[in-house]
Amino acid sequence: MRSALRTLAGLVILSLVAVACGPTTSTPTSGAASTTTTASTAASSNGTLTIAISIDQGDWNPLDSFSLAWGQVANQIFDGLVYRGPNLNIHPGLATSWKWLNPKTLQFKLRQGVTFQDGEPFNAQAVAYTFNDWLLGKPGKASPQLSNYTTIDHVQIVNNYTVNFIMKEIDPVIVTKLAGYGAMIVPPKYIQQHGIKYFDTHPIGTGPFKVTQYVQNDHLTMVANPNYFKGAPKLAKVIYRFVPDNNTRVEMLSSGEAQIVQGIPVALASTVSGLSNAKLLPVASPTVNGLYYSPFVAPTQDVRVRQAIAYGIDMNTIIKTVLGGYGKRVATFQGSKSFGFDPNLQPYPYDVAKAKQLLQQAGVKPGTPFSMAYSQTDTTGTEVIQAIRSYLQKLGFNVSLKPLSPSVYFTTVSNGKYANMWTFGWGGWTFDFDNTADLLFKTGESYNPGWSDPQVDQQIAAERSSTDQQTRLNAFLKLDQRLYNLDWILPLYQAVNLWGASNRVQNFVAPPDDRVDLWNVSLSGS
Amino acid sequence: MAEYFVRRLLHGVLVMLGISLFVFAMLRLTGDPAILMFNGAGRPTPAALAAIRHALGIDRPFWVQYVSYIWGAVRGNFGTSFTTHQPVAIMLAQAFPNTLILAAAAMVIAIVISVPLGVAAAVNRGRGIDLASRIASLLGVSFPNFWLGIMLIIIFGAKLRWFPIGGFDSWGALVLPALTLGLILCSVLTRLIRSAMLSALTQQYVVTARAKGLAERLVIARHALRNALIPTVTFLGLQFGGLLGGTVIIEQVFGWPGVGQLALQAINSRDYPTVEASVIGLAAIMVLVNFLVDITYGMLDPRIHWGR
Repeated sequence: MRSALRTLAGLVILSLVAVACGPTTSTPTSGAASTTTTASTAASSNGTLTIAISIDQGDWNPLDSFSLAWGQVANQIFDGLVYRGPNLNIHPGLATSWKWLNPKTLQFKLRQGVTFQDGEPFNAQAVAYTFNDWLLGKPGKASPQLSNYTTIDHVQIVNNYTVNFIMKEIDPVIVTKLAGYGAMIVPPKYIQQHGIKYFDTHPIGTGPFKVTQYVQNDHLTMVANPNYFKGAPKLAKVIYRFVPDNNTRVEMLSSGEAQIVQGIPVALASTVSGLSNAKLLPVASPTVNGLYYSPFVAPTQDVRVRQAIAYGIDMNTIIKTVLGGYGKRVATFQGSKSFGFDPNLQPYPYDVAKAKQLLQQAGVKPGTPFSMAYSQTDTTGTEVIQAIRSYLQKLGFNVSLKPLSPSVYFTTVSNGKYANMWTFGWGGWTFDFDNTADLLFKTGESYNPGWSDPQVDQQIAAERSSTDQQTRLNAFLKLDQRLYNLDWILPLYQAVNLWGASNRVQNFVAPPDDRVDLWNVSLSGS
Repeated sequence: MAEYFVRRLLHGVLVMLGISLFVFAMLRLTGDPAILMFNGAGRPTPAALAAIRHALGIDRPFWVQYVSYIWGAVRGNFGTSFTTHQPVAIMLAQAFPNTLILAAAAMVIAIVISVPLGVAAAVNRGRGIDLASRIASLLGVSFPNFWLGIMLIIIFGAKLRWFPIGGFDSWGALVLPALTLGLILCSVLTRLIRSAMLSALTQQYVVTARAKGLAERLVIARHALRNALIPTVTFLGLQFGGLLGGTVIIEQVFGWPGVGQLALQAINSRDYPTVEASVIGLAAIMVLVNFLVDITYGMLDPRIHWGR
């Protein structure tokens, strides 16, 4: 019997020993940047800002990563040749100016006197290295970002501060794309010295903040880069905390543990609005949510059925009730800030009689089976789907819902044969309909489940073959009208992202494209 | 005894091989991780996809991949993460201690609360403390752990601001997630100790001890409690494995940098090597704990003989 007590005591002691091992965050690990040396910060920089976000990207190398989670953090570390701020206008970044020498040669003049955070100079060699050696890819070394830059043949060094982008074909959106993910300029010597894998978790850029510690799934700490070319940032230190749970992030804002939080769900919007120490910051995102129709599963091959569904769903009420008003109705699958958006096209009105008439014309009988697939972890999206289901049942469909895990979602639905409809969100990160139209609607494209229309293909080719914006806009307007009539996708709403910020935070602009810019942000009372 | 150990060890190895094969095969049914690496950014060219598949090693036949993986795993090489491009063994070496610390702290909390409470409830059967402990246990069992976690965050983190809420950068950060897990375990453990104590208190050896004039305090501590602890220790051993599983949700709620959070993220990004190593690691701990429980049980109860 003594052994029973001994064993119990042993369990307690073992537990205490395990606990005594201590927080692993106290020492930088291999996941932590080696740059734990105290970086000097500018005398003008002060205050520590903590920002809680939901996802740890895990890899901060811009050549690897293209995601909103990357942009929320690594926008502080890196710069591109051009910069798109929260107002979505393109400004000079590491390039001071640019011009087309001819339709296939784009010349950039580079900013002089800029250094990476380890002192390595930024120059034309760094730009050529970023593109020629990595982004455009050598055999077996292709960057996942290559697909965004396939129109570039190579970067030519003219002199130490001038480069020419030699294009394979005309790309009217290339300057915008160069402000985007992936096209951040990386330090050649640092990568050659430490290796590209080391760079993934020990990033060095030209940006306003320098990473000093990264502990996976816990936090990433940055300090001000006093030599930043726009001037030292106002904050001395920024700590990103990775907190997946929505409620916890909101409570961190409420308690003052975090001063900025990302990804507030609609259900918690009123909680944040009610905080006395913080405010809710809604911002229209480029993401548009919709439901893709199957070209293969009856009865959605019939355009009359698709139109009936559009008439039969009261989307305005769904936005008002389920989304708490944090959504914007759209008529086509693009946001209102997208180049190519036609403001004259209006979403289908809610008209049940018209919907039933169209279903009758299409020969759809009451009780016809109808399936909808969606990603089960999207809580707001799930509520929208359930609301839509009730509208479809009123039209006489026998609706079945097919929730799927996000890891298998796209693989399952993308061939168009799994369900009649499936939820589909699209970022539209260039704020130009080109990317969306080409990838989603052109015949044979990977995100097109099997729809095909010669007029659609023709208009996409027309806008892509010109750098004249008016010519492109005309093509887009024709394309919008055609897609509106075809109804391959039921556009639901343009998403509104919800951020929360402490009242102490000054000059923070909630970014439409999730690329947080903390350079000019400060904390009152610091 | 040696034969018993060897047999249990072989049994454990077979279980681990089965789990690894199952996880390896199932993951490959979820789809192509190369496509997810493009994150919907644009159209991956067939050449780019092929290059990435080759770099990830997933263009090889299934059995070649599996044997290569197992051969690496037995040497401590679990491959490189598809998403972070870091060695998975290092990622796990960072995450596992955090999960173990959380589970261990929860167990300490559960034991420290449950043992005196369960004993007091049994000794005072039918009185106020017994009723209170049963009601508290019932409530504890009924609460989902994520809900309890959020409530603790709101009360002790946001309102009272006694403890930090997210992450693990100080000892204070351990309190709320450990309490969440510990209190749930505490509910079950208190009931178990109470019923084991009630059973022990009616045994002949307790009657004899009392008849000998032994002080009631010693009767309870030396005779009743020691016997009541036999099923308790077995239960705790098995629950430690359960606690590790329970940390998955709690790690999400509290942003705890443990293996549960690592595995969930890896699942969502089809990071095969990280998922495989996380599942195999957790399974190995379960197998080990079961093995130790079997051994301990035999040591505690002389009526149990190894090998029979």
